[in-house]
Amino acid sequence: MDDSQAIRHKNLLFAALGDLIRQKLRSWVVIFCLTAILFPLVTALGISEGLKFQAEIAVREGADLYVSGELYGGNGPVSLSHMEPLASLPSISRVAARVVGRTYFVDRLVAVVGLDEESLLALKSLVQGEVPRVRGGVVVGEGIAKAFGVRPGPGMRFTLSANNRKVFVPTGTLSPSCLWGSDILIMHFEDANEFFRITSLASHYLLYENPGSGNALSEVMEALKERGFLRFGERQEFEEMLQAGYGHRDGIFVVLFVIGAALAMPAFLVTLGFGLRELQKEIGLLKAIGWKTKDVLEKVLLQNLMICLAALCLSILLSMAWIKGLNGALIAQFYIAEVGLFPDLEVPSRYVPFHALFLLGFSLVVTLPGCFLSTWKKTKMPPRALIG
Amino acid sequence: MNPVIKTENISKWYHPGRRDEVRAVDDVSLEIFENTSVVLYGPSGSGKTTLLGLIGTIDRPTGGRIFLYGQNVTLFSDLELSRIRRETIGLVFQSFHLFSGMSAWENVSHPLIPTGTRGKERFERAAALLERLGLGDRLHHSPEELSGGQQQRVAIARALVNNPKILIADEPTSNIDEDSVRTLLDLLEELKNEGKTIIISSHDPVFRSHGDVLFNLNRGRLEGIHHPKR
Repeated sequence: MDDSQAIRHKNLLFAALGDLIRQKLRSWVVIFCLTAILFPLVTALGISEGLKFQAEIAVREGADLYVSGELYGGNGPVSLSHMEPLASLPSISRVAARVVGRTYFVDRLVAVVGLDEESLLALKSLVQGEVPRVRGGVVVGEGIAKAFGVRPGPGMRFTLSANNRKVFVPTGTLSPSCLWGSDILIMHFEDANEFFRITSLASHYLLYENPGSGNALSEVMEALKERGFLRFGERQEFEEMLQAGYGHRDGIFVVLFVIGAALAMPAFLVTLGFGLRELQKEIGLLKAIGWKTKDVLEKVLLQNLMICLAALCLSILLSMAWIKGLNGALIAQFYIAEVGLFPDLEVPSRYVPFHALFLLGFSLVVTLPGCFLSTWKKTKMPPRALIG
Repeated sequence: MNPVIKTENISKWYHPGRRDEVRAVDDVSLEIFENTSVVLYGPSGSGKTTLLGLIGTIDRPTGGRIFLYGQNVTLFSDLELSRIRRETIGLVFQSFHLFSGMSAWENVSHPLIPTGTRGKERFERAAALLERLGLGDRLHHSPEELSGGQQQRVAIARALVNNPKILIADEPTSNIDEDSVRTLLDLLEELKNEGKTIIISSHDPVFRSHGDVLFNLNRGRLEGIHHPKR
C-alpha cells in the first residue's frame, strides 16, 4: 500500500469517527440497540467460558487414570484389594481411593465425598476454615452452609442418616467459587464408608502417573484388564468430553440467539433507518463533491465497525458488571444447574478474544446488511436525486 | 476552438409517457467555451437547475449527449463521473448544502479526504481559500454560526478546493444580501481571470451584464443565446 492510500484510509477513518460524533443521537441509538442484542450473548458466553475453564482446571489437576469396578454393565464400586498391587507398579506414583455417594441433608440431596488424608490436605486452599484432621470432621459446601447455617464453630455438629447414623463436626466450608462444591460434604474416606456401611470398597481409584513414564498408562490398563471387571477413564478422555459438551451447549445457545436476533432484525433495521433522510442527502453531497462509491462505502464500513466495537465494549463492561456485581442474577440459572434466579455461589466468568471476535463479526452481520446495502444502492443513484 | 462543454439535444423528462409527465429540460443543445462566464437565465421552473445538474454530471439525461472536453460523459460509469467531479468540476448549490456540525475549514477540505491528502495540508489549503474569500477569522465556525453570505463563500471555497477548471453555481444570489452579491460578482470575475470557466444560473438581472454568454431558458427549452459583451 503506497503512502497516499494509507493517508486516504486514515482520513476516511477520522471522517467516519467525526461523523459518529457529529450525529451523536443516531450513533447512541444504534450503539444501545446493538448492545441490547449483544449483552445477553456476551454474558452467557462469559459464564459458559468461566465454567469450562473451571472444569478444565479440575480435569487437569485431577488424576491421570480413574479406575472403577463394573456392575450391570456400568460403573460400580471397586474392591480395595486392587490398591496395593496398583501402587506397586513402577509407572504409578500414587493411588488414591475415593467414595462418592449421595444422601439427604434435611430435604436437600447432597453429594458425599470420602477422600484419603493426602487428598483432603490438597483441598486446603479451597476451604475456608480447616480440612478435617481427625475422623468425624467434614467440609461443608457453601450451598448447604448458607441454607442451613452449618458453619464451623464451637459446639456445632449435625447428624446424618443413610445406611448408618453418624455425627459430624463441620471444620470448614468450601469457597463459593467452587461451583462443583455447592451441595457437597467432604470427609475422611473411612467416615464415608462407615456412613454408607460399606467395607473394603471404593467408588473408584485415582491413579497418578510418574512423570516421563511414556506409554505406561496403556500398560497399566492392560494389566488391570487381566484382573477383570474394571472400567477406566483417562484424563484425555475427560478433556475431550468436556470440549464436546461445552461446544454442544454453546452451539445450542448460539442457534437460539441467532433465531432471536433474526426476529429482532426488522426492529433493528427500522432503527438503522433513523435519520435516513439526512444520511441520504449526505451521501448525495459526498458524491457531488467528488467522492467515489468506494470512498463512501469505506466510510460507512468504518462507521459500522466503530459502532460495533463500541457496542461490544459496552456489552462486555455491562456483562462484567452484571456477573461481578450482580453475580449473574437471572442469566446464570440457564448455565448452572440448580442455582436459581439469584445464585448463592460465585458465578465464574471468563472473556476470551475468540468470543470478542465472534461477537464483533456477529454484530457486523447484524448491522451491515441494513446500512451497507442501502448506502451502496444510494451511491449508485445520481447525486442530485439524493440531495433533492 | 473546441468547446469545454457541449450538449446535443439533451432532455430530462420525469414520468415520461404518463399524464403527469414533466419535461424539465427539453432538447437543449449548447456549447460553452473555455474561460468564459456563462449565465443560464429564465423564470422559476424553466429548467436552469436541472440543466446545471446535467452539465455538472450529478444527474443523468433521459435523452441526448453531453460532451466534456470532447468526451461523451453520458456514457461514463459512476466511477468516471466521480473522477470528473473530483478533478474538473466544482459545484455550488443554491442552498449551499454545507455539512452541519462541521467547521468551515472541515467543510471546505471535505472533498480532499479521499484523495490521500494529509490533514495538515487539507487544513492549509482550506484556510488559504477561506482567507482569500474573507473568512480567515471564521475557520472554526460551523455553518450554523455563519450568515447566508458567509455560508455561500464556504460553499464556493469547497467547490474550489480541488482547483477545478469549471465552476458551476446554482442561483448564487438567492440566499444572500446585496453587499454579498457585489463581493460574489467580484470573486467570479477574479476566478474567470484565473482561467476558470464559470457557469451560473440566475434569474437576477445583475448577472446578465456580467456574463460573456447568456442562455435563455423557458419551460425547459433553450429560447435564445446572447453575447452581451460582443
